[in-house]
Amino acid sequence: MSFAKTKDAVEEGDTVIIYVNPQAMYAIQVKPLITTKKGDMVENIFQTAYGALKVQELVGKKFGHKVQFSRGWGYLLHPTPELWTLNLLHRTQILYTPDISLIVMQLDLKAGSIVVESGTGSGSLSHAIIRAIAPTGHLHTFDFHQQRVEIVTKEFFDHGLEMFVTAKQRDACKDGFDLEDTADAVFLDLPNPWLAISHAVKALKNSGGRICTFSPCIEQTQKTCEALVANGFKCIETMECLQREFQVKNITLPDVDDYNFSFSHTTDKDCEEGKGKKEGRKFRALLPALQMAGHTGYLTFATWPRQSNVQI
Amino acid sequence: MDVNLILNDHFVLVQRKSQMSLHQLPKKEGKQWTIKVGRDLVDLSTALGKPHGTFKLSRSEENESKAFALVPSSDVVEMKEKLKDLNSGENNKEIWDDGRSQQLKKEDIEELRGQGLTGSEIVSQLVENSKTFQIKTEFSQEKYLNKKEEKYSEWVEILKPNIRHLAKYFHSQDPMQILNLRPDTLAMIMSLANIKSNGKFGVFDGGCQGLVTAAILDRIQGFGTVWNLCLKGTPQKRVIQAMNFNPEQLKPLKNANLRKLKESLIKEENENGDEVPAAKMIKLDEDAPPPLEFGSLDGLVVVCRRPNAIAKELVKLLAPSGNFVIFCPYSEPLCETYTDFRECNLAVNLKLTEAWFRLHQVLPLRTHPEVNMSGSGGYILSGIKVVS
Repeated sequence: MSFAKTKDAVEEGDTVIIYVNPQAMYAIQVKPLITTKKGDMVENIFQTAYGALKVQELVGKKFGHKVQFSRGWGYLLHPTPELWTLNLLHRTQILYTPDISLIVMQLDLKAGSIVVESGTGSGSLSHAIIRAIAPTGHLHTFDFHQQRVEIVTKEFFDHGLEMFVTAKQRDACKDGFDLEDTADAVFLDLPNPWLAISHAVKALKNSGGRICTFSPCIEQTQKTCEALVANGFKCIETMECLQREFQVKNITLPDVDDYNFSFSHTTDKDCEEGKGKKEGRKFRALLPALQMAGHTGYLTFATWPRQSNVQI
Repeated sequence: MDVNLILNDHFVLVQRKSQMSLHQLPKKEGKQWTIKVGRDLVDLSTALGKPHGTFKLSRSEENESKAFALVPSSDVVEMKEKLKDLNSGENNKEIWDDGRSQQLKKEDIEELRGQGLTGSEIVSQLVENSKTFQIKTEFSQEKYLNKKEEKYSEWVEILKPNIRHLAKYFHSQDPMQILNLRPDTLAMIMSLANIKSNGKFGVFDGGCQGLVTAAILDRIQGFGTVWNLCLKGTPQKRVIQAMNFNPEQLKPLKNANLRKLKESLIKEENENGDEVPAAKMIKLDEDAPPPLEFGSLDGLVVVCRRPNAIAKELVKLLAPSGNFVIFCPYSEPLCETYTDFRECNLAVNLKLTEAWFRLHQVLPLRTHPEVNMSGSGGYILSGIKVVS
C-alpha cells in the first residue's frame, strides 16, 4: 500500500525494501503468512544473506531505521519506483531509471496527465508514470500477454495504486487502444511500434499531446520516424541516454609507482628525496565503472499538434 | 486550468527553426511590442489573444511599421518544397570554393530586406543568383536551404513555456547560467528525489535560476509543499516566472530563510516543555504549510557549486528513508561529500553519477548521431537517508 502515500512506519500489507548492501536489496510484502510451493500456509520468514527475518515483526517499524536479522542487520526502506525497478521480478526486459526519467519529462507528464502505455511488461515504467500523474491523472496500460497483465494488476493493487491505473490485455498493433481523444501522452515499447502509431493518433487528445517510442535497434527507430511523419507528428527527435557511475576511491600507490625524477635536480639523491613517504602517494580518485551499460535503446519523441477542429 | 492563449504579461517562447527566445508580453494591452527574431523585427503584440501555435511573419498594408505582424497560419511551406523542381547535380566535382558562386553582395541582400521582401523571396533570389546551386547534389541543396531557413523562414512557433522547453532553452543559451544542469540530468533529479504529489520537498537552489523548483511545481500541480530554502535574500525565480503558473499551481511554494529557520528550531528545542511548540500549532490552520522541522521532508534537492557543508546540514531536514539529490557542475566537491556521508553513515544507496546524452538524426539512409553533443551535464550524488 505504501507506494501511494509516504508514511513513517510499516503497516500490514505494505511492500517494503530491505536493504542489506547495494548488491543485496529485497522487495517484500509485509503479511503474516505465505503459501509454500506445496500450497500450505506457513509463517512468513524471509531469508537474507545475514539470516532470517520474521516479516510480520516489521509492522510498526520505522522506515529508514535498522532491522535485525538472525545473523546481522539491514535497513528498512520506503518503496519508491526507483527501488522497485531495481528489485522487481523480471517477466520481460525492463526500462531503467535514466530512460524512465527522460520519458516522464519529455512526455510532459504531471499530476493530472492521462497516459497510454503499451506494453506493460514488468511494470517498471508504469510505477514511475503513476507517481508523476497521481492523484488526478490516469494510466491506461496494455500488454498482449494475459499473465503479465494479471500479475501487474495484482502488484498495482498490493501497492495501493489501483485507482490510478487500468491494465488490460490487448494487442495494440492489431486492435489499437479502444480510447478516443483521451490521452495527453502515449508510450510505445513494442517490437513494431510503427504499426501502432495510427492507433496512438486516435487515442491522443485532439487538443494535442506527446508520443514516445522505445526501440533497441536503429532500423526500428527509422521505420517509426517515417510513420510519425506520415501520420502528422511534429518536432520528431531521437535520443539516447546512459548513466555513468563513479566509484570514489582513496588510493595509496605502492612505492614502485613513485617516479621521483627531475631533469633539474643535480644528483640522484635529490631525486630520491621524498621517496618512501606515503603522503605523496595518496590521493582520492573518481573511478568510472570499468563495465557499464553501453546501450539500452533509442527514444523517439514527437508532438501531436492541436487539431484544426478544436476550439479554444 | 491550462490557459492556451497568448495573454498580456505572460511569457512565451518564440522559435524559428532551431532558434528559440524567451519573451514576456506587455503588461497592458494596446502597446506595440517589438522583438528581434534573428535579424527581423516582429511585433509580438499582434499575437495577443490568439492560441499558441504557428504564425506567419506578415507585412500589413495599413501599418507602416518596420516590424512584421504575426498571423496564425497552419500551412507551412518549406523552402525545399518551393524549389523542388530545380535541377541538381551528381556530385561536387565541379564546385570550387572560390567565394564567387553567390552573385548577390551583402548590400544587395540588405536592400532586398529593406524592400520588404519575404524570407522565401529572398532565398529564391539567393538561389537564382548562385552559380553553383543547380549543380549541387540534392542533399547538399537541402542542407543549404535548411541553413537559409534558419535565417529567413517566414514561420515562427509561439510556444507556451513548459519545463521541457525551458530546460532546453536555458541550457542552450548559456549552460553555466543554470550551472550546466542539462535537461536529462534534471529529469534524473526529479526521479531520484522521488518527486510526487502530496509530498513535502525542499530545494536549495544555488544557481539554476529556479529551474528545479519550477520543475517540481509543474509536476505536482498544486498538491503538496515545496520549501524553497535559501541563506539570504529571496531564492532565484527566473524559470518559475517564465512558467506562467497560476495561483493554484504556486500554492505549494514556500520560501524559508535557513537562518531564521535555525533560530526557530533552536528555540523549539530549548523550550521542549509541556507546551505545544508554536511551529506545530500552525498545523491546525488549514491553509498553513506543514511546519518545516528536522526529519520532516520527503525529498531534498541541493543544487550548487560547493555543496559539501550545506548538503550535510540540509539532510537533517530530511525524514528517515527520504531521498536526496545533490547536483554540482563539478565532480570534486561531490567526491568529498560522498566520502563524508559514507563516513558518517548518513545514507544508503549512495551513488555518484553523470548522465551521457546524445541526439540522433534519423532520415532514410541518412541516420547517424548528431555531429555536436554536450560533453557534460553535471554530476549527481543521490542517496536515501538512514538512521544508524
